[in-house]
Amino acid sequence: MKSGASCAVRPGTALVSWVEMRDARIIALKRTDGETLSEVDFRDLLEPCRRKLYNYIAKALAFSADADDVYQETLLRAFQFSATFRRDGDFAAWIFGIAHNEIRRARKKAGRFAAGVDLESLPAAAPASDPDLVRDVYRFAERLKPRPREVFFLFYDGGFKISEIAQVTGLREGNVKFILNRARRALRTILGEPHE
Amino acid sequence: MNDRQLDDRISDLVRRVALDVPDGLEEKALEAGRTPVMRADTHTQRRANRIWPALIPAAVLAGAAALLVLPALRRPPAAPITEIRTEFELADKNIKVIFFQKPDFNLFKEN
Repeated sequence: MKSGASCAVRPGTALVSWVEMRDARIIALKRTDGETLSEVDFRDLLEPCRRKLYNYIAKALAFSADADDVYQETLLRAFQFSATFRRDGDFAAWIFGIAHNEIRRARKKAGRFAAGVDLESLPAAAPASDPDLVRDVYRFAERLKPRPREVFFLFYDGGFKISEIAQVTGLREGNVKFILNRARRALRTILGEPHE
Repeated sequence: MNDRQLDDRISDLVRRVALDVPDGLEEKALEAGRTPVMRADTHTQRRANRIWPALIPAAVLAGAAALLVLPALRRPPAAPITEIRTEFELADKNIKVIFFQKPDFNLFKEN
């Protein structure tokens, strides 16, 4: 497993540059609704969020080996049915929505996923400090039910806003907030932070 | 530590584990995507595709109901004229003459 540098982006703030996303969206605006995207346009739109998308799938599936297949299936579906992407829409939210459906489909097919990566080895791939805390956080995420786990990673890893998470997962914003509040409360204890 | 700071801390810990997209994964997916597929329906078409099949049984039911109800609503046909009766009364003679024309009469003037 390869690792990336830690990111100081605030949760609820997308990892990708929004300038990139805006530029990417301009490409989409050049076409009309109902028209399939060309491969070049599709790649341009995908580029700012591909890594985030792959990480979302991998983490939502608890690092299962099936994550690669689900990622490929997501891209395939998105590319083939790119005509359904509305030109005034947010590409990241659209493709994450497809990924969400593919994750659900894969989960139904395979039942419970066995973790593909030993959680004990995770911090070794991450740089420097607090390896135990990283492990604890991932151990906590692994115990979450599938949908709350998706919400957790969309917020804390993907940097999506609550409204965007609701759009991707089909949950109500209130439910997303509820899930995040519960996770926050549990993690406050795990991280040894005093409750307010 | 307030919620915002806690979120930042959790986010930092979560993002310490970041996977790179394996090489060639996207190529394979996009290559498979190059094979022609049926054109994806637009949102409106998909909605129409869902609505039309539902309308078929509704239309059949409406037709059946019409077939049952219409005969009852239809005005009964007029009874055929079976006779023409003409009466004359000669009051001063106390005579009453009655002519009957039975079905073989010709109602209209023949050309």
